[in-house]
Order: sequence, then structure tokens, then C-alpha cells
Amino acid sequence: MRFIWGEGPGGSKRGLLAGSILVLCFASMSCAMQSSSADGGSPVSPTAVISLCDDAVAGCPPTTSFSLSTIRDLVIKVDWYGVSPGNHAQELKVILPQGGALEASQTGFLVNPAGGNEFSSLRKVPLAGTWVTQREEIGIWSVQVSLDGAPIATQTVDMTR
Amino acid sequence: MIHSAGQNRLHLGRQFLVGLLVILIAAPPLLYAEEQFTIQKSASNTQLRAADATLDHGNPNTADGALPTLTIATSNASKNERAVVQFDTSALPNVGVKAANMILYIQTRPGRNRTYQTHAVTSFYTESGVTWNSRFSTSTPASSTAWTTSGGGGDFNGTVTASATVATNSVACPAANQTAVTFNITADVQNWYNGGTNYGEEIIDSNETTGAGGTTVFYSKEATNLTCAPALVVTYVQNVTKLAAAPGNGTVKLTWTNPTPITGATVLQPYQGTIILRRTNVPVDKSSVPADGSDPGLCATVGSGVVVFDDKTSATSFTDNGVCGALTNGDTYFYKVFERDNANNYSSQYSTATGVSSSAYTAEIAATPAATAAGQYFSNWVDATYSNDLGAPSLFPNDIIVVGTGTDLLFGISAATGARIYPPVSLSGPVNSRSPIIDSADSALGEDVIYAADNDGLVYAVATATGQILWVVNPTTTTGNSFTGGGGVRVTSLLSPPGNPAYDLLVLGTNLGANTTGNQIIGINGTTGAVVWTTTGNSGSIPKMDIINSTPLIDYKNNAIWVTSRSAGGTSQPSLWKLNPTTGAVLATADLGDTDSSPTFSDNGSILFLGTNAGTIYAINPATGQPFSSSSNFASGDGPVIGYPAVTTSTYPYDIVVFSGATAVHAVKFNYVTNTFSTAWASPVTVSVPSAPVTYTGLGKVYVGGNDGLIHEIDLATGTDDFDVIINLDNGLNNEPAFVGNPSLDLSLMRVYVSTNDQRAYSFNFPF
Repeated sequence: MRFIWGEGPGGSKRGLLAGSILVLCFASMSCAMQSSSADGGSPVSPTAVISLCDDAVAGCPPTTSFSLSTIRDLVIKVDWYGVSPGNHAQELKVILPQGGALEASQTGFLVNPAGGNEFSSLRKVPLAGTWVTQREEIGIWSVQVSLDGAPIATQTVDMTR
Repeated sequence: MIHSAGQNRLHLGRQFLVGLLVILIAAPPLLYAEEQFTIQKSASNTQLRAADATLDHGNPNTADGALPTLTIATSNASKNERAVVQFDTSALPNVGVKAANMILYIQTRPGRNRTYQTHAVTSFYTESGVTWNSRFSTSTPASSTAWTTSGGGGDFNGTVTASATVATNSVACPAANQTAVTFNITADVQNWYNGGTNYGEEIIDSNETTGAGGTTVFYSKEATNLTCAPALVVTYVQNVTKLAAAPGNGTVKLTWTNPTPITGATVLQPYQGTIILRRTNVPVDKSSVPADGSDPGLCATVGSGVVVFDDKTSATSFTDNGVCGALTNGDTYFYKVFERDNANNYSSQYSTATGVSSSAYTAEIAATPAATAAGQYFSNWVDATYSNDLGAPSLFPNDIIVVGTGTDLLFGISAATGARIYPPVSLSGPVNSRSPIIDSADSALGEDVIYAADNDGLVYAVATATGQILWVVNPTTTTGNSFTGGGGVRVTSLLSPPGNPAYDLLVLGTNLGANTTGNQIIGINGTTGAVVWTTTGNSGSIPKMDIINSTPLIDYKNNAIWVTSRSAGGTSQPSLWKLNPTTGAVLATADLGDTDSSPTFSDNGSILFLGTNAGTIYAINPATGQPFSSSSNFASGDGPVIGYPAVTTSTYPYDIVVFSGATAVHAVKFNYVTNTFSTAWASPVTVSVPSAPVTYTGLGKVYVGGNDGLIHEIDLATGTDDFDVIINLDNGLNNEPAFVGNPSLDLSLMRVYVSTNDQRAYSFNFPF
């Protein structure tokens, strides 16, 4: 899994993005939603890249494995691409290993016709000292994002003791 | 006024018949559910929790919530207008929704035919503060209250829920032939009843920015003639109530009360009976519901449950003697009960889009049969919360349980019956900790109130009787704070002398994420929400302050407030804070190392106990804010102390302190003559990842939840794990037991309440 967030100098953002989207599509089979482009031409598929980090680590470098004994906040960044112009809502769910939602949040956003069909959101999930760390919710978490109710992408997280 | 469509027709004449016809024509084809009810502001239904307002791009900071009208306009790029409408559905707390239509009535029709679209709003707002730019309270910086959508205009789902047209010849309200502009918002209303937040609907022109003449003015709920106010017509099947279970030897008897139509509702189909699903040791899955229009038959499998009762005689009891499979003593049986009507529509939610029913709030119960009465036990009630939150439920004994969730909801549950008192209150963010409830006899507000704080940094006062949000503030005025601890309330009626100040003081600590120095302790006026004082770490003479995950402790005896915090992973900055409750001034600090658990007083208030993340219990002298002596501590070596230490008075000269670590429950004695600790039990009681314990002086028992699906009852004197109640040995997803959260004890009903990660709350009698 590669991320566009936190890449060092000289990296090709677009190239990395394409790779990330491909991986997500294969991994989650959730990149199939179609929408029309602003000019009514070929439909475009909105895609999302989910990246995760711990804000207690300098620079908050993206990773997919965390220790519950040291993590401060799980920072979730979602980069959207190919979203049709207009108002939209992102729904983000953090699912614990037992299957229930730790939290679910919605973020409204507007894509202007003249814009790049792109949008980024940032969500901080405080974990340090909460019942989540105290009760050792270890295992594979998943972060799921939907656009206007349609599932788009999923990223798994390995939470260790 | 709460009334039915049928009554409208009889009492108000032809104009409402037209509206009713519109509703019926727009309704889904399979519409044979029991009742239909109109939610509309009236003298008898004041719609306390409702909100509606115009968002005016031309006046982007003007709050229009108090106006009697809602305007939707297409003009030019900076003069469009939109409307938000949110209904208070409290009249229908325990129903499966089959259909819902929102109706708007016209004051001024458009100059051109218009098509309007409605979308589900996705962010929290208030009627008094909502504008084109902001969601609430324009008095605080826009950065903390703005819609997340750039440019404002509301945050909403991009998918259109419903559309309706308004023609140039539409008829204004009131009139015999008035136009009822009707939107079928069934999907959104079902979501509100299925664990989703209810922020209402936003209505916009389908083709904004298209010049003049495209304006329609509708009536709001502030209209003088309330029959022209927005209405929500809901078709539904009620759930059974007062569901109870009585285990026997190889049997379980269930009893319940069948619903009677809600006053003012139109009965479309009479209730006929119930269907009951059963599952062993695991709750029946949320998605396991009978399909509307069919009768699965006795012993049929419906999802993860088996039909053990299939009644069409309106029975109110059923004894499970092992129908469709014998009951085994010692196993716990979960039952899920659906009301049904004559057409086999069930108290679930039917989707016209998919033809599939889904469970919203459905009555559930559990019981464990045994050969002898000593081994038989049962839940008083089980209630869906749609969240994994393991914080202790908030409690007003023999009245209400309030459960805050990670899905931005506050559930108000009857302590006696487990029934939802009202649909959940939608907040902005998740609630992690137990929120304090102050009863009307003590509260300066004069009504039962709960103070909740969420991960979005917002603080709320909510009337527990109605779910009405009395005020909401962002006390830090930033977006970087998450409240993860609960609030402490200094109740002015309990002061000596009482009433000075005139308000109750709510105290909260911030969690500023990676910030280890500049966190805050905030005092808030409980009557108004105004910030009284703020104590900020690393400012002036105040030491550095790390994040606060605990609940502040009010010290009436010493006129102080005690707060624990983290300390940047070391002992070079404070983790215990003593503050002046009037000014917030720091009176004392102690450097004890990271502390996430809350402090607790001894019964007489002479000793403060706290447990650190290193697993050490300290006895603190309240006068100095320091440990009584260098030996006034006990190192458990069992990881962070969970939640808080529970303290009881023992024989002179001892207090008993019970606390949970990572692997066990511990008990130590504190000798307040020598100021030293010693162990109270021969060995700690091993519990799989225990919750915080709960006990009180004279009870003689300790209750603690585990990651083993059990509530453990431990004998305080001996440290013996006496009896375990099975909550849920298999969460139904990965064959692991449910995690059981921090218990709350109701000393009036003698019940213990817990939340679990099977997304439910449970009640049991104690002692077990």
C-alpha cells in the first residue's frame, strides 16, 4: 500500500495516486460507482485513497499498523478523486474487529465544476486513554468510506497490543 | 397538534383530503402497516426538538430560524436560498417505519414552475444559529461552527432523497384546495430509526442560479396558522412493550404488552399477534427479521433466529418449553419479538427499494434456565444502541439511563422497562465517557439535565425528559479539541450556603491530540453554557498540561476541583491538578505520571485515591494535593488503572480500594493512621481485560465487566468470583465473547446496567 500523503521530495504524486487507487480497487472491489462528468460527457468513477497515521509520531507518517499502548490519535485522511460537481457527503466508519462501529462521521463538501473533482478530508479519532485502548480492541480494524451512501473504499488497520 | 390524516379529513375539510390523496398516491405499493400518524407542530405537540430555517446566501450570516416562513429561491450565484427542516419524532419512539412523507405548505407561489429536491442533512446545527455560513452560534468564531462544505449553504448527502414540483398555479395555505408539496423521505426517516443521526432535510431548487422569479415561500413551524406548518406523515408498526423473561427448569416464559394505537393515529390494519425468534447464547442478528407480507411458520429459520412462537391471537405470553429444540439449563437464550398486523407486516422497517426488511428498534430479552432457582437469571431488558461504546451508562435511579455512543447519539432509556423514552438525540460527534445527570430537585436549571461533551469539542445540556438540547457551545472555540473524558458538575444547591453562584458549574478537561502542554480545564455555566473560566497549561505560571481523559472530581469539603491528566509520558510535569472552583486558579499539582483514570474520594472525603497508567494507586492528602507520605502508594504491576478506583469504608482504620488493571481486579487496604497500603485479597481476581469495578460501602460485592462476555460478581471480603452473568458469549461475528463495559448501579431498582460491544445495553438485577 502506498500513500500520496507524506511522500518525500521527487515522488510522482499522480503516479503514486494511480497505484494507490488500483490497489484499493483490487483490495476492496469498491471503486465502481459511476457519475457523470460536469459536461455530461463520459462518466467518471469517484475513487478514494485512505491514509492513516498517529499524530504523536513526528510528521504523522502513513502506516497501517499501530500499537494501542502507544497510539495517541488515529488520524484518517481521505483523498477523493473523480467526484462529480455538486454537493456530496462522505461517510466514514471505523469498524472494530468484532464488527461494530467505533464511530461514524459524515462530512459535507462541494465540488465546483471548475475544480479538479478532488477533495480531502481529515478526521482525528482520539484513542489514548479511552476505553478502546484500555479494553484492548486489538486485531484488524477497517476504515470504510462512502460517498452519498455508496461504499467506495476500505482500508484495514492492524492494531496490536 | 398530533393528529392523524383521517382526523384531518374529518375536521378540516377538503383541502386536507387533497393532501391525503397526494400522500396515498405517492406511497409505496405495499402499504398495509398498522398506523399512520402526522407529526406537526400544535398546541399539544410543541415540537421541542424540531428546527427549520432558511439559509440565505444573500444574507449569509443572518439566522432566520425564528421566522414564520421558509424560502427556497433560485436567483443568481450569491442570492440562492435553501431551507432546512428537522422534525421532532418523539411521539413515535418505538416503531418500525414503513413510509414517511414530508409535506410543506405554500405561503407565496413561484413565478415559474419549480422542482425542489430534498437531501438528508449530514451535520449538526441549531435552529437559533443556523445560517448560510454557520451551523450554530454565530457568536463564536466561524471556524468552529461553519458548515464543512466550502462556501456554506449546508452539508447534505449528494443523493436526492425525493423531489416535488411547485407550479405557478399552486394554491397557498390555508385554502380548501391548498397545495401540499409532498416529499417521500421514507429512506431517510428509516435511517433515523436505524442508528443514523437525524439532522433533518435540506430542500433546494433543482436548478439554482437561474434568474429571478424562481422563489417559493413556505410556512415554517413558527407560522401563525399551525395547520400550515411542515408536517411529517409516518406509517409504522409499533413494537411490543414491557417484554420480560422468567427462566425455569428447562423453560423460559416471556410476557409482554401488545401495542394500542397511538392517540390521534389512523389505524390502517389491526394488530394481530407476535412472532418470536430465538437464538442460543448470542443475540439474534439485527438483520434477522421476517419479510413483510409473509408468515415464515413455526420452527422456520429467519436469519440467525428460529421462529419459536407464531401467534395470530394477540397473546401476551409464551412459555418456551423447548419448542423447535430443547432448552439446555445453563445456556442463555435470546429472544427477539416482532409485533405483526393482519397483513403480516412486522415491527421492522421495510425498504421499498430493495424489498428487504431491516430491524430498527425491536424488543429483545434474554434468560438463562437452570435446574434450581439459584442458577436462573434473566435480563430486565435489552436495548439496541448501534454502537460499541463501553463507557458506563449515565443514570438517574429508577428513572432514566442515558447511553452516549460513538455514532453521535444519546439514547434515553427507561430504567424500569428498557423502552426508548424518545428517539435518540443527534449530537455532532461521538461521546466516549459517562455524562453527568443532575435531577430537577438539585439542578439550577430546574429540570433533569445531562451534560454531554463530544469528540467534536462541543458541550451540550440536554433535558433528559424530552431529549431537547437546551444549549450547545464550543468552549475552546477551536476545531482541534476532542472531549474524551466526562464532565464534573459542582451543584450550587449542594454548596454551603447554597446558591452562590446561582448556576451549576460544569468542569471539563480537553484532549488536544498531540499537544502535551497546552490543554485546558474549563468551567462552564450550566444554565447558559457560558465559559466562566479557563485554565490553560503552559501559560503564565500554570505548568504544562497534557491531555485529559478523566472526569473532574468536585470537592465540596475542601472547596476544590480535582483533575487528572497525562504528563507527557514522564513525571516532570503535573498529572494531578487541584483548582479553585470560582476562578480556576491552580491551587496545587502533583507529578505522579500519566493518569487516565478519574480520582475518587473516601466516603468521608478525607482521602483522595487515584490510579496511574503505571498501575500505581496513590492516597492523596486533599489539603496539600500530595501523597500523605512516600509510602502512600501501591504498585500493582498490572498495567494502567482502568476507569477509576472504587472506594469503600472498612473497619477502623481502613478504607478498601478496588481497582482494575490489564488482567485482574485488585483490592488493597489503606490504613489512614499509618498512611500505608496492604493487599486486601489473597490474590487478585483474574478477569479477561476487566472494566472499571463498581461497588459501595455496605454492598459487599464488586461488579466488573470482562472481555469474556460476562458481568462478574466478586465478594468484597474474600475476593471470590461468586457468580457470573452471561451477557453474550459470542458476538455473532467472529465467535468471540462480547466486551462488557463499565457497569452502573441503580440502588433504587437494585439493577446493574452495562453497554457492550454487541451494540446493546443490558439491565440485570443484583445481587446475582
